[in-house]
Amino acid sequence: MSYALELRGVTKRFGDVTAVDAVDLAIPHGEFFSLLGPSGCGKTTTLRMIAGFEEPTEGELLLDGRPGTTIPPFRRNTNLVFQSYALFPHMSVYDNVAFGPRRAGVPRDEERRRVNAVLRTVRMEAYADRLPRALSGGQRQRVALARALVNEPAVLLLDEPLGALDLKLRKEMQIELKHIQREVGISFVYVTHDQEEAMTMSDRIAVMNEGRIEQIGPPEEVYHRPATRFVAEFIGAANLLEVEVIAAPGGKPTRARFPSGLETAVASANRTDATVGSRGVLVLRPEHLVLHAAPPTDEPAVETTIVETIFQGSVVRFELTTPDGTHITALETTRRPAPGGPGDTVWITWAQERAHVVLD
Amino acid sequence: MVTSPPRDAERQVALETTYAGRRRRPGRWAPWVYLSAPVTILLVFFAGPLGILAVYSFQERSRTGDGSWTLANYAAALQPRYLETAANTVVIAVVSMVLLLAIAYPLAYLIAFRVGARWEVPLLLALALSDELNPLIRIYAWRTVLGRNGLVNTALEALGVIDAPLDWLIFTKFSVVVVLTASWLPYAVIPLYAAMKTIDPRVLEAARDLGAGWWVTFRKVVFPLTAAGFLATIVIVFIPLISDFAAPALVGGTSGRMLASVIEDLFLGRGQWGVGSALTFVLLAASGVVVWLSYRIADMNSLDTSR
Repeated sequence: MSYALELRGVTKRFGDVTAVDAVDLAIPHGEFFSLLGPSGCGKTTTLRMIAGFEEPTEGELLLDGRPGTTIPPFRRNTNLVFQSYALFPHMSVYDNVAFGPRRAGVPRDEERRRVNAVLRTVRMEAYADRLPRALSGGQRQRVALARALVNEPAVLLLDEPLGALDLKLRKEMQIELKHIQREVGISFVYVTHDQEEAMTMSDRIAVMNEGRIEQIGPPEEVYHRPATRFVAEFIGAANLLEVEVIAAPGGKPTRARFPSGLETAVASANRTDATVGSRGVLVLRPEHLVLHAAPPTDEPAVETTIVETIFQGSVVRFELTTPDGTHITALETTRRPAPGGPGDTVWITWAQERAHVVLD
Repeated sequence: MVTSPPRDAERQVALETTYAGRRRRPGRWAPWVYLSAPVTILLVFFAGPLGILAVYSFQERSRTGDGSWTLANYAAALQPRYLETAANTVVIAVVSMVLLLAIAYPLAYLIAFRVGARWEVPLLLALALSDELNPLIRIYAWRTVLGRNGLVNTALEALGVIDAPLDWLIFTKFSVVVVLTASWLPYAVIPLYAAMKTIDPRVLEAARDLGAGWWVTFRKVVFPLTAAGFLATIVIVFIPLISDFAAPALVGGTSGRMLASVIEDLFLGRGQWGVGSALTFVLLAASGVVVWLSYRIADMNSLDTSR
């Protein structure tokens, strides 16, 4: 099977700084793929190497199964949607979108058909004669998308394209982008620092940190079974509790013990080569925690003190602290009355089947 | 990242405040009060002398002021020998202008987009400083470079490229063009640089990403977006080019003569103020035509940049 895009050991150094460090990626045709990470993690540099604006210091890049490392951007079968849109300010919407087909020597009537079709896809056909400055941010965004899509690239690259939009519009555009991607069936590589955005749209996510890929997987997997502490903390909110493995048949941890001596079952782990005594953290999502006013007898529970309760409408956020000073955040729906207020002692239990351990 | 929508919003607010401010302003005469000083200077030191020259150009024996009205000066100004110099002048000015733009466009592009923040300001400063040099000293420096025993000839002879010094290097149209081009380079680069700085570099990347090589990117994106700077450059540089008299006088010899040096000679050497004035207006009309043409060329509406 050939991939739409493949990166093999791609590294980029700027002087002494390694911006991207031995990245391996394989993106099948038609996948919505996100590169997610904090600013400076190398995700934009990776994208610019795919677009051809930067050349890798080491490694190889394949487009549609063919070597593409040194193809210049104007001959490359990729198109980029810029964060600032980068529309041609002196050209109408139509001419902006037609720029690519004209460079490719598409005949006039074919050009008109394709441009109008893609403008319809992004719901901008009524604005074809407008100049970019007469459009709103969201409309410019659509034009930028249309201008890239019209070339039917092997891979469409998007560099935080929704970063400049306000929250409400961003949410709408996320859904719309996903729909458009399904409709056109082109592989999207989407760069963002917003984990919620990445999860909303992506088939798979690559979480990057300091130039390296920490984990690649579908959103559910990245969220529920993070491969590293960084991923656990970067994706969503996470409570990390220090544990030690006490049972690991065949290298797969099944039970762990807190420093307090309390024991708990382990549902999954990031490694399959664990031994008794391996150390790591138990990852507990705030919404997986249940608060009890009295110690439950049938499952392991951690004793905590409520520091603060914050009412957020559909949920209440509890800021808790354990006797050894570990900070824990819990979210409870407002369906039932709060088990206590600040200063009260509560016991927390968690969804046992979500008990994921990240070993060091 | 700075984004466009808020910028638009700001501009809108700015516009509204401006209009509001204008409406509140008390008298209709206020703009004229502000303009009175520059207008006075223009009238006294530009329009006035020009009017006097206009009178001279239509009078006989105008030096004493008792001449009668005549067109003889214009007839004299349109003699073949002056027309030849005029043609020379236009050729030299146009060639220098084309050379200037050919050098200044890439240079402005490199400074604006390629050299990086570290070299941008030093290079601009170097350009500005090169203009600080006294024009006469600069021209004499060119004589030591281009002269019979100058740097170029000596170097070429030492390398064995030529046996005898090239004699067309100096006191020809060539030398005038070289000196004029070098002298006015800063004035061409700086407006073009300013125009280029208003282009978002991502727009150029977008062009490349969409399949445009450097030439198409220049023709479809850079040039249309810098048309205003292009026009400014022509207006700023062409008039000094066409009316220069120091360069032709010092490195032009006989073949590199330009109209302005003829006018200078008519006024100061031969005392023929009438003919000199008439020639002045011929020169003025010629530069007017060029400026008008450049307006036409740079007019974005008449320029199809989309295809």
